[in-house]
Amino acid sequence: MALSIPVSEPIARRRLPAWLRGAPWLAFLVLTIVLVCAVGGEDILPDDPNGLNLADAFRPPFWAAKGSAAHLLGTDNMGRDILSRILAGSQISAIVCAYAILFSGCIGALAGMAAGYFGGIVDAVLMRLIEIQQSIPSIALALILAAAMEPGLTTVIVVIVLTYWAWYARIIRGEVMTLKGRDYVNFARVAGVGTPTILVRHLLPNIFNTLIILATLQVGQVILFEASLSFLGLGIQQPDISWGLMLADARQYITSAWWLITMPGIAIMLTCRSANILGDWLRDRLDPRLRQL
Amino acid sequence: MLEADAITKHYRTSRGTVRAVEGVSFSLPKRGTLALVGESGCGKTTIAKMVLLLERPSGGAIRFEGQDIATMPRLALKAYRRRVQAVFQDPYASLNPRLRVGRIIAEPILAHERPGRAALDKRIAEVLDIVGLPAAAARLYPHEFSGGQRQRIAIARALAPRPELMVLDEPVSALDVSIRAQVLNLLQDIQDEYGLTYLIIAHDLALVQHFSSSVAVIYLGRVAEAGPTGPVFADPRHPYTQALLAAVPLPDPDHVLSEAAAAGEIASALHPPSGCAFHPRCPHAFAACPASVPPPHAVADGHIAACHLLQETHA
Repeated sequence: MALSIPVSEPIARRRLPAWLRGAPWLAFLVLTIVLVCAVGGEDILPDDPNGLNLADAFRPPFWAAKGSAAHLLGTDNMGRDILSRILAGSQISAIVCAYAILFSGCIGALAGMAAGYFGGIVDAVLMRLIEIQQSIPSIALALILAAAMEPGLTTVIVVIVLTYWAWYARIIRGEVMTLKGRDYVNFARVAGVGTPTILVRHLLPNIFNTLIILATLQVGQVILFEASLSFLGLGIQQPDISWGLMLADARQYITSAWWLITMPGIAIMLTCRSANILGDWLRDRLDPRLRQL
Repeated sequence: MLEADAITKHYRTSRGTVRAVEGVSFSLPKRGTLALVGESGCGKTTIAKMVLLLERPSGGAIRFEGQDIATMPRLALKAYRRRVQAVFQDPYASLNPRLRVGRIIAEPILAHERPGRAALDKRIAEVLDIVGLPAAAARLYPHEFSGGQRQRIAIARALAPRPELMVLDEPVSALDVSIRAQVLNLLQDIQDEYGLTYLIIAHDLALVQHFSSSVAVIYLGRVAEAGPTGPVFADPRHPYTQALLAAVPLPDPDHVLSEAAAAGEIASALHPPSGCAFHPRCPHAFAACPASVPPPHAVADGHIAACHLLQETHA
C-alpha cells in the first residue's frame, strides 16, 4: 500500500519586491501622515487651528460625554480644534527635525570622521571644541542665541544643531578610529588608494548604520527639545503652532482637561516610535550581511 | 629586489620606549621567498608594516631595487604602491563587508589606472579564475564566502594590479588546518606562474620549511639566525632556532619534545634583557651573554647566526 503524503498546493500570492518585504507599514503610515500634514498646509485641516470659540472651549474627545463629532479630539482652553492643531503642528516638528538632524548629522559626521581618521592635531582641536560645546548647557546656549537672534524657528534649529553635532562627532570619531585599523583600510592605503576614496568608500558606508540609528533616535529628542524651548518662550511663538507649545499651554489644565496634554503627547510618541522603527528597518536593509535574512 | 638595512622601529609610550624592531637587515632577491619567523610580539609584523609604508622606520632604510622607499620620488612611490601588494592574516577583517567582491578586487587596479568597464570586468574575472573562483563571485558580498574563499578573494585583490612583490602577513594562520595547504599551494603556483617575490610573515615553522627559500628567525626585534631554509633547518646554530625547531610537534607518538625547548615567555620589548635578549631563556647562557649583544656570525655561505657560543668556538 502506498502512502500518499498530502502536499499542499503552493498558495499563489503576489509577492512584494524583495526590498519591501517585512517593511514596517504602520510606522511608514504614521510618518506619511505627519509629512502630508507638514506639506499640505491649512487646506487639509478639518478646522481652523487658530479659530477661537470660547463658547466651545474644553470640549472632550468625541467618545466622552459632551464630546462632539465636530471636534474629534476635543477643543482646548480657547475652543480651538485639537486635531487641527496637532496636524498643523506637525509642520513645525517636521521642519525642525529635518533641518536640525540634517545639519547636526552632517557637521558631526564630518568632524567625527576628520578627528578619527587624521588624529593628531586635527583630533585634538576638534575634541577640545566638542568638550567646550558639551560643557555649555544647551538651555543657556538657547537663552544667549534667543537674545541675539530673536526667538523662533531658526533659533530652535540653530540651538539644536549646535547642541547635537558634538554628540554625532564623538560617536562617529570612535567608530572611525576602530574602522581605520581594519585591514581593508590598511590594504587600501598599501595599494595607494587616495584618502578621499578611503573615507567615502570604506569608512562612510560602514558608519552609515550608526548615523541612521543616531538620526532616528534624534527625532524624538529634537521634538522634545523644541517643546522645551517653546515652553520656555525661546522657541516657536504664538500664533505658530508646535507640539511643544501645545504641551506648554496645556500644562495648567492637566487635572481638569486631560486631553489637552494627552493628544499632542500621543502625537509626539507615535512619531518618535515610528521614526525609531523605520530607522531599525532601514539599518537592516542597508547592511548586506542582514539583507538576506 | 628588496633590502632592509639595519631597520629599527621604536614606539614611544607613556611607560617607556618599546623597541619593536632593533637593527634588522635582510635581502630578498627577485622571485625569492623570505620568511620572517618568530613568536608573537617579536616585531615581524612591524617589519611587514614598514615594508608596506604603513609605518615609518625609526632608523635604517628599506630599499626597493636600490631605492630607499622613505625618500622615493612621487612617481616611483606611486609605482611602488602598485608593484608591492599585501595579503593580511584575517580574511574577515581585510575585506570591506559593504562592497561587492568585484568592487573590492577593482580597487587596487583603479588606484593606478583607468581601464574601461569591459576591460576591468575581464581582469576581475581573470584574477578570480587564477584563485579558483567563478567569475560570478564578483557580484556577491564577502560574507557569502567561507574563510578560505575569502582569503582567495584577498589574494585575487592583491594580484589584480599585477604586482611584483607580495607581502603575506600570516596568510593562512586564520584558516582551518584543512584548507591551509590549498591556499599555500595556490600561492606557490601563482609565484611560479607570475614570477612573484614573496615576503612571508609566519610563526609556523613546518609551513616555512616547505614554502620559502630563505628564512630569518626574529627574536625581540633582532635577527637571531638567517639563511637559506635548508641549512637553517638542518643545522640550526642559534639556541633559539634550535628551541623553535625542537618545539615543532611531529606526528609520532614516541616523539618527546626535547629539553632544548625555550622555557618561559618572550620578554617584553619595553624592557628587553641586556646583551643577548634570549639569554634568560637560553639553556647555554654564560657570562658573555648578558654583557653584550652578539654580532651576526657567518657560519656558512649566507647562513648567519647571532650567538656568543659561535664566537667562542671560532675564536
